[in-house]
Amino acid sequence: MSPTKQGLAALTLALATTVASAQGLADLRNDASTAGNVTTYGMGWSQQRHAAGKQITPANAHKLQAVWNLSLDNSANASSQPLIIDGTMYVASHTHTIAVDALTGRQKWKTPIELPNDIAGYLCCGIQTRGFAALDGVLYRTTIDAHVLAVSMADGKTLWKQKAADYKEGYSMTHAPLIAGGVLITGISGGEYGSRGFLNGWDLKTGEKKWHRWTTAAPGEPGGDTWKGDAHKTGGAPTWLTGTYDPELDLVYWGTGNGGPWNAATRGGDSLYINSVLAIKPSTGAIVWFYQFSPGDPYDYDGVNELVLADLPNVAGAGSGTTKVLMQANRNGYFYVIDRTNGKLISANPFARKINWAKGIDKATGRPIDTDMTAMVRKTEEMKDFIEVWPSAFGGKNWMPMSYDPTRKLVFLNSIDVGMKVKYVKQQRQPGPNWYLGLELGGFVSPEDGNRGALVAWDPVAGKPAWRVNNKSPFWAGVLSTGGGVVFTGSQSGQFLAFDAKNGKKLWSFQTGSGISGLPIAWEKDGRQYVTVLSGSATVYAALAGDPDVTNVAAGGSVWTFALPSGKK
Amino acid sequence: MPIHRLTHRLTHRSDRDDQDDRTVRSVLSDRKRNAWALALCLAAAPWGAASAQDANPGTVAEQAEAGRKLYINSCQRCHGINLASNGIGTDLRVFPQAEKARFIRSVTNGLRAMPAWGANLKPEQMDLIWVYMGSVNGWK
Repeated sequence: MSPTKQGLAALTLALATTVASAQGLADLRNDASTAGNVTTYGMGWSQQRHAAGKQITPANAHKLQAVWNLSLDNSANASSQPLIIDGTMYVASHTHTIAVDALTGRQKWKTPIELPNDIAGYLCCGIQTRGFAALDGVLYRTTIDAHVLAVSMADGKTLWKQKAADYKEGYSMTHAPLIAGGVLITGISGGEYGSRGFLNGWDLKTGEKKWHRWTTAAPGEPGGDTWKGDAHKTGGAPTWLTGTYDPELDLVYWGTGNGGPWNAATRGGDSLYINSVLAIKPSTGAIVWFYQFSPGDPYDYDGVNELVLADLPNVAGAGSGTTKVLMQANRNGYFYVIDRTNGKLISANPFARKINWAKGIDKATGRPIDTDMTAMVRKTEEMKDFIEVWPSAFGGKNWMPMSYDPTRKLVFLNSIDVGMKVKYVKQQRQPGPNWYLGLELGGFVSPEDGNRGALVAWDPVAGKPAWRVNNKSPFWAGVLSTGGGVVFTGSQSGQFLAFDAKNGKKLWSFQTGSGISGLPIAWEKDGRQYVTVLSGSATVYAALAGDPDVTNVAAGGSVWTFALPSGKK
Repeated sequence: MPIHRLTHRLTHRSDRDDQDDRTVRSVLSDRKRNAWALALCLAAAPWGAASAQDANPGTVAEQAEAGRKLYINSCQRCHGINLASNGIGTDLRVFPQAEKARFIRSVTNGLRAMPAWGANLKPEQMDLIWVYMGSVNGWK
């Protein structure tokens, strides 16, 4: 920043402190029910991504039109969820933090992130920055070179910056931080580089590190005997997506990713706490309970997918009343409902169309029932031939978050239905930006009907789909549902789409300038309901899947905002 | 055909009398064999393999296999399995054989979304990746 700009920034900050937002913890807690603001990643600590507003309906959605578009001047994945606070929209890209007038789309300020020139080699699966936490006039974000940043909402000035890890050890950060219990909590990416996962708690005001929690267990600790030798030191369990928070239980739920390397026989045992959900105390990072979805996982079935909180009736049997649950559509193809007070498995039903790695999940033990193939894979460090595994490493669902409509009691999720060819090999970990997987990928396989993905309405109480709309290529975008009964998501070829929540009927589409890997939000101002989404994709799926229907998609991020004409019904 | 199948097939082709020729046949279609044999007879390096051969002893197929291993760990996640990619990385299937210098420059220094690999890949490793690209693309 030039001296002139610094002076200007300081002046602006001085002016801004008097008008800074009075947004506080109560606003974060009530985010899901405040239509004008979107102050949390996930549209509420429960990450339901549901907006109660009813203006846009299946009857009028075909009239939706673009209100404004803003270029992000960025060709990475625009897989970020904007926040809206007091009329200003905040957008994160991996190179900038941007403030936009929410009604007009005019850029208010844009501040750069300085990055090393070799950093992109450490991003396993595309470059992305997924969003912010926000409180009291401050935005909190991560950088892809593994720093945590506090940024003034008034002018984009950096208030503090802390290094979470050395990116040259295989670490990066792409997720939005979480504010819970007065602490800023961040995770880490890097599971493909033989790094060791962790969570951090930071002081909101000063950036001082309050706690550090490794997510692989060392010898002598509980679970330390689930690793061979020192394998936990490079054992993965990265915490690369944002956790959820129950303020009444004061518990944060955070998912962990794959083991490092993916080759299970190299690691040995269950490899705690890979592919798990950890329930932690936000003040200390202490683990209160954990549940491991995929013990000793060899298939990259990360457990990081969003852990959506809901209160569900009769899930523990007829007449069992309301249970506080967390829900996850896991990469391994099963939809989990777990009692979030104690980590007990309530149900795990297959939502992926084809699963050949497990016969089911044993409800009594919570463990998968291996097929013969998986039993063989677990003990085979080196293979001659490729095997075909369903779902693939992309999972039955990847990171793109689902929504939950608490009125209709339905989850809306984008599923992926492809298999992978994989062959396990012994591999030495190399330093630098080199993958450490202990296997070779031989390619990805389409299902016979050629539908590689679907938008699924899932009934989490019944444990089965209410409807399913198949697609040639999976949607690689977040899902938003609204009180009006409309479900929004986007395609990899760039169409922003609206569906009827009742039956999955397509209501409307709009062709944006790139593929959509963003997370749509809905918000309201002066009686008008708006929907905002980022367009811009450069996904790992497009790079690796060999999908013939994801070709000729232009790169280039931008922000789109839509509404009905003049808010009319 | 994926290169791993080709190299696998190579191990069963011990009936060939000429070592170099056998190596070449393993990675090339029939259509391209003649040009290859000629190139090797002249000891001139097709697609710049000379420097790779200097720094990396072994047959072209062995170099391609070494390059493939490097590619898998460093490049594949953006440029795709067997160079087949729809996203993130430049489509290396259509990278011009005549522009090796541009390849080395982009890999070393980075370009737009491409990170700089100069600190992490040695020049001879870049050469091996170039040989691997040639084996997939059937460069003459």
